[in-house]
Amino acid sequence: MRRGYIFTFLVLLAIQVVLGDLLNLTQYVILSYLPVMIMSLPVTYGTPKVLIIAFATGFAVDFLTHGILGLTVSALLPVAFARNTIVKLVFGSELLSRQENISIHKQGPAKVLLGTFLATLLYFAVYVPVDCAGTRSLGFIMLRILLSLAVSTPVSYYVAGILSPLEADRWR
Amino acid sequence: MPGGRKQYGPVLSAAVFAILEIAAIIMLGSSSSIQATWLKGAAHRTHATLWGSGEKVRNYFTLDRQNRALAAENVKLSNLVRDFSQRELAYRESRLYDTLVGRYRYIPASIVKASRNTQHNYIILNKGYEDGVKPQTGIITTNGVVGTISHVDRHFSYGITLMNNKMSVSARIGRTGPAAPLEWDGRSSNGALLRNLPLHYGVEKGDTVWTSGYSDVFPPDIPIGITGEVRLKDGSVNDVKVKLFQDFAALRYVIITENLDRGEIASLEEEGGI
Repeated sequence: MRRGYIFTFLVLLAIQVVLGDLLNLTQYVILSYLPVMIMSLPVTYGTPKVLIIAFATGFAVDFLTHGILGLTVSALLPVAFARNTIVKLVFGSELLSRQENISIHKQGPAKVLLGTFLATLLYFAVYVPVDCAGTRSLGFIMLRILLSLAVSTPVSYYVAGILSPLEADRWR
Repeated sequence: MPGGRKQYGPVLSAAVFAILEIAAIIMLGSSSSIQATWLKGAAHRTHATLWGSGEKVRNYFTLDRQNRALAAENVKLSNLVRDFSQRELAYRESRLYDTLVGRYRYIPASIVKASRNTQHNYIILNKGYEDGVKPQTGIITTNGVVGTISHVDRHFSYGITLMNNKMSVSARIGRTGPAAPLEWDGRSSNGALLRNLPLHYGVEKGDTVWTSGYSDVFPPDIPIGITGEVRLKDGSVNDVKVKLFQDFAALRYVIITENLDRGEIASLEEEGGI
């Protein structure tokens, strides 16, 4: 199961790299489900471990997509750092104390969608301003964040669904 | 041990996050010149803010010392101002002191105390009989008549002002107009009434009112004020409102006037049975 999870994670990462490299929607839209991948990491993983995974994931994306090295990393690390807070806020602290993983089947689609939304929002709130680096107006940055959220959140929810059945199986 | 791990967990997480984020920012700065410039700008802004805050904190803690220094300087400046004002007073008094003009003698004085809020207002001056002040002498300023001295002590003298309903001054409209008694209007600190003017004498608004010189207290031709509204009284005479040049609310220095012929005039009056 663990090996299956890692394999799924790596495949999703590879798809993200390909999407990031090949799929250029517009300058207003960024498609990324990396935040939900970090959120979906097993709850048993401590924050330092999640941070290291986020760093490695972000670095891989930046390196392989020929983008700005450090951009994805710097945006993904806050998501990893705030993961437990988002989990407590959306799913309650019982999830952490029972060491349950995030699952659409158990926690319900609404909560997972909300958790996905918050993690993605945090990611873009860092990614977009750093990417623009003071060269764009605040209006452009806000619009880019909103449109990227609108596109990435449904995709991220779908990715959360792919990652969560592994845990759901355990409860059957 | 697990308890300790739990306790230091957030600190460890924050430390790992900080280290990795710094590494990410370093990577970002070294891989893109735009991001590097932006990050440098942000770093400078943060640096300036931190230094500015530090300076504010340092200033806050030195406020007590600065306050003490300011208070000391304030005392020093107050003493200096007091010294200058005393010198100015002495200078003014020395310029006017004991001047003899015509048959009048002028003695400058400062007001020690004055009342302005009653119907019987008085004034106390810093000159007494040791300074040559005598009772029944006049008090004037360059802006008009102030009052008369009624009691004299060794170093001080007491007088009633024009803002007293017992006080009356002989005045005239223009230099050649009819003379009439000028009295306080009883209300304002610069208002008076010129009473009982003959009806046939036309009074224009804005005419200057002078001392007539018919009194043995005040010298003639001291400008007192300007005429205002004219009111018919008892169908036989006019009362004229006068706006005084001297506002009693702003009075500080005065001149005591002594008619040197007063004794002679008084003895003549006695002989004439007046």
